[in-house]
Amino acid sequence: MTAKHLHPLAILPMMWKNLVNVIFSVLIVFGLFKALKQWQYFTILGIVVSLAILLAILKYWCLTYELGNQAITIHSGVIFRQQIHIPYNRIQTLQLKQWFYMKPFHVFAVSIETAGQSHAKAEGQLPMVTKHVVDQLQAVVNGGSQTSAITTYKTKPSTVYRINWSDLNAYAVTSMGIMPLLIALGWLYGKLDDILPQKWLNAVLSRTSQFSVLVIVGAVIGVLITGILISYLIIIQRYYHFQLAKQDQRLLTEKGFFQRNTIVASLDRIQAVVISQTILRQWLKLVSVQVILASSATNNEDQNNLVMMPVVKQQHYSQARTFIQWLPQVLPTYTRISPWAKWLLIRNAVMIVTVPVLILGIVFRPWGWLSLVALPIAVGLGAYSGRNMGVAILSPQLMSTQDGHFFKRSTYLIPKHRIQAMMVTQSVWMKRAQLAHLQLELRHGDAVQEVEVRYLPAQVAQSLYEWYRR
Amino acid sequence: MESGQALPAKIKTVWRISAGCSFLVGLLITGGLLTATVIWQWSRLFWLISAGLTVAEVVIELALIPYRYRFWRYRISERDVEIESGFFFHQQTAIPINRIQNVTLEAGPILQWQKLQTVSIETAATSHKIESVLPETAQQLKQQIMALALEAKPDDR
Repeated sequence: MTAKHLHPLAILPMMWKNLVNVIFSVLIVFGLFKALKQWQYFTILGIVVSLAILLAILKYWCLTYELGNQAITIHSGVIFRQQIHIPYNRIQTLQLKQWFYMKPFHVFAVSIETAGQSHAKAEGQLPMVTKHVVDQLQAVVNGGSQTSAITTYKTKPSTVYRINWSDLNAYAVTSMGIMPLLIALGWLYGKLDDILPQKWLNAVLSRTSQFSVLVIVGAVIGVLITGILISYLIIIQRYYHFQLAKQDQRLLTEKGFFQRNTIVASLDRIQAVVISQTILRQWLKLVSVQVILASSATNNEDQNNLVMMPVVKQQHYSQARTFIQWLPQVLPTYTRISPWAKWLLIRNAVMIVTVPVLILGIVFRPWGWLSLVALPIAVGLGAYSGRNMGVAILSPQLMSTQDGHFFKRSTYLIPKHRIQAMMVTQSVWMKRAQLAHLQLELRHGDAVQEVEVRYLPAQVAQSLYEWYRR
Repeated sequence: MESGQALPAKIKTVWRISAGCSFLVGLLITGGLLTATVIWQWSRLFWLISAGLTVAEVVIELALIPYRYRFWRYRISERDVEIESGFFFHQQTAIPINRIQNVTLEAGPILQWQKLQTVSIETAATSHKIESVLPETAQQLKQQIMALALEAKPDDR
């Protein structure tokens, strides 16, 4: 195979990137030399722009790739030449991105990732290649040698799950994405005093007082509705036509409206399965199934997990089993923590907020005392956490934990051989109360994810520890 | 895990020395604050607090050394490495041999002088340390862990 260039369209984003990089510094330079004539401005601008274009073309010219028999080779770099060599059987995840403007040209951006820890960036990147190349790449990644695979690739994926419209709708509506937005708006409103001149504000206020409270309430509701609508649309956009398929030993997810995002991950990269539900979805009996992957392809996803099913009805959870066989038929009953342990969690939550509340209350009297509302919230958080804390052993090879943070319950299903280390922690006081924390270390992306079950009965923690060591 | 291996007794010396080092640093800071008080009439509070903290820190650190030593245990078996430490905050860690990715031996200046080494056991997620062992134990440990890691069938990965 000979070295190939990317699709010529790749020059455009490269150019754009170069321009964005330099335009800022050019503007600064313009700011410094104010005495220039108009034609001088234009010459400088012209030189900079043409340089950016030239460099993009040069970069495009120097980036070539080769699909060999055993491996893909990517050559890149204008001054410092770089050659990346990735054997096909080492490829762990393949990520394809297609922005809407790339669609008419049938081109994709490809990121190739291996098990190597290169921190956040995928090992191989091809910013724009044609569908044909993508198919070829997928084929060789899926099975052995290239020539034999191309013909057999046409086999349909064995299992497919597509999100239906009502599920997606439910997901977006129950999403908490609206919360940060509201907080931001509230903050902005609070800052209004500082930003706007007092006189102007007074004028507006005196005028609005004629319409009295009605206008203000109307405005607030308007802002709220816009905020909700925007966050709703953002989520619909992101999970538009979500699709999950299983192909050989790989999971394939596809989603997005403006940017179609495809992730192909091998099943044996899965470290654990997380079933999460916010308190709102708990009431509506909806769950979201996610996968903890030893890959950074999912860095922009929900909590950096690979989303397997954005939202399904609780009783339909078993659908996930068709994709990952080792999942249990039904979720187990969990060993819960004692009432005393629940009280300890509430105490801790309250203790954490007490100091800031006191400081706020004393320093910003009297309005600072409004922060006292944090206390009941802390009690709620502690109680919620206590009610959802639990652990269960499902088989000699599989365990499950549950916890609740910030009104969101996460259920972890963890195969024993994915637990990198287990710890039992106990303070002197906990020893007296016969309690212990249990911590598990999982690999997540390129880093560690710790799963902790707090204030378990000591003998339960110990029995899990023994289970792990067996 | 009372049966586990204790750290070499020399580690107590190392801990004492490192307590001494932090005392020196504390003294330097206190000295600086004292000078500032003399020259620029800073509040006396600063250097008094610093001196108090320095003394308290060293006293506590020294007082805890016997406990720290008493409760530090490690054990290496066919299947896993176990590390146990802490009295007030007791922690027990198990790392199965076939999760170990690599083993690193390291020693800072104080450890080198005392002829000790730290063993750091790395998994795919993080690393765990056995605070110090004698060099011959370190070599032996390294070989044992590596041999076991080679033997351990990647049964369930």
